[in-house]
Amino acid sequence: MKERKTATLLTITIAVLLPLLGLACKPKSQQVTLPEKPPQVVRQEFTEKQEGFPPKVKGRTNVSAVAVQELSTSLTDSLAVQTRDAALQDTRVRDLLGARFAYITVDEIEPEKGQTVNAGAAPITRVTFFSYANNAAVYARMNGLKVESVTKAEGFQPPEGREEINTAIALASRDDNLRSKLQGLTGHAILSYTPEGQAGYGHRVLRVTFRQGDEDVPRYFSMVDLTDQKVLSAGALGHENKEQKP
Amino acid sequence: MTKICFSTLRLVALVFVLGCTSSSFGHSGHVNWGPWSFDWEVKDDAGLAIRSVNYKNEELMYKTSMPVIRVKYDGNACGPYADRISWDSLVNISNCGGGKICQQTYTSGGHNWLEFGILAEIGEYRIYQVYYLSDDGWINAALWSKGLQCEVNHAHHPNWRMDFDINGAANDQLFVHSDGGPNEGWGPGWHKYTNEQQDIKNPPKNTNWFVRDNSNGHGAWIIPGSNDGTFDAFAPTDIAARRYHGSEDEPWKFGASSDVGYNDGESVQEQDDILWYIAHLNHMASQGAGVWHQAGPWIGVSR
Repeated sequence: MKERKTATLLTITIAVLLPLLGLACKPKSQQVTLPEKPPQVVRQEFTEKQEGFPPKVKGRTNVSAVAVQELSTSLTDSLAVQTRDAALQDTRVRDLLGARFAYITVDEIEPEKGQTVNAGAAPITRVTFFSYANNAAVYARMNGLKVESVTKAEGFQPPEGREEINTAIALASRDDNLRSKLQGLTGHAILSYTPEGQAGYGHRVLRVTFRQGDEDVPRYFSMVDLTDQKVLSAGALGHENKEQKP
Repeated sequence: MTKICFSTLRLVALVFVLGCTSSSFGHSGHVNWGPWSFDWEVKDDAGLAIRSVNYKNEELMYKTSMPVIRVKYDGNACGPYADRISWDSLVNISNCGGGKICQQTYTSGGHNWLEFGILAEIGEYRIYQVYYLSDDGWINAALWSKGLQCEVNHAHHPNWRMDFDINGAANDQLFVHSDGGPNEGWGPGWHKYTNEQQDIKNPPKNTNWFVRDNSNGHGAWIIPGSNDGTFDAFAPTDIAARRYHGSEDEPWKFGASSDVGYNDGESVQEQDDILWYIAHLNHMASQGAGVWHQAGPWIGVSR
């Protein structure tokens, strides 16, 4: 009788535990059902070139401009300038920059997801430079106005900085091939990655173009090597390979 | 003597740098509109990012940004380029308020929309990076581009980095759907990404992606735009699945000729994941520099 009771108890226990065990061992992916097919996307049609850039949705109604709400950040204009200046006072930074360099930008380094920044704490920032003397990007990690670390990244090209654009345009404007042709034209410049085997490979090179007013196509170009501070080539657009300098 | 020379040179360089004023660091703000609320920022040279994106009071995204637009000209006639949009590269938008950010609402196709974009000038390129949000749960992350660096055919490859945090950061699942695909247990045509990987779309099979939170089943579609083109040797990826690491949320560091990195084969199953979406925008030089082209995916809320 006692044995039968024990067997019944054991059976009940197993019957209860087995499903629980099954649930515990089920793969993590519990949601199995996925939608059968994607919903239909509502395509928008846009205005043509004549109606300005950027294009707008055709036939739209109730158009209303909304005031942009900008938040104050811990990295204010003046603090960014102070941060850059503080980085430039640091010997480690100056050693990596060498004699010729350009300032690129200051950015706030955001905390890892889930971490919060203490209110009132100095911002953690990254000041980016490009050293022409060492042909490398230089980063200063700052805690407020204090340099925490400095790194040199050879082979890495941060985006073109404003002062680099101005320098490249100025160098191109003085080139013999262009000097007399640029009256009334405006210059633009973009960081260019020179393919291996071409002049300027591995250097900080900007392609400068000169355009008149709202003309679609620029008239002249110049490839400017900021690492060596020289014009690699210049001429009328379409003559890129014919104007290469020695 | 040499030491004096170097010191003088350094001082000259320092004076030059200090003489230049710049405001190229980040700007940020907040938007509440209809069922949407989000923060925005322009920093890290990653264009206009939207973050803490909520739809009907539930989080959809931690952040979506555009760290790079890689550009390749035929025969390397010029470039290649790795265009990165910073606050410093922005210009005022004359046909939308005249400021550096366009924010306007309108009605189209029976729905209300919010347009939120920035206009950048990089070399000869005019680039309009924009999000169109609809009141029924769609975001079209789009890029418009016009201009020629040289008169040769070329392709722009904008890279969007999308960090979905549906119902919190953890428990993300990444799926790809292709018409006519086998049933692997998720339904016909569905395949689950298990590890970090690159993938391409197959337009005849209507490839789409779906991100889902495993706990509550809520998700988001990623549907290629109709002009998103196809991969090529220079940009051989349409989508890249990655596991989130804070250290990988940084300015683009792979240059002009390399695809997105960070692939060390980690598991992306029920983790905090990232999707990189890459479009391929072809510009034929014969069309002229004034023609603009548009690409970008559609992101649809699914609950």
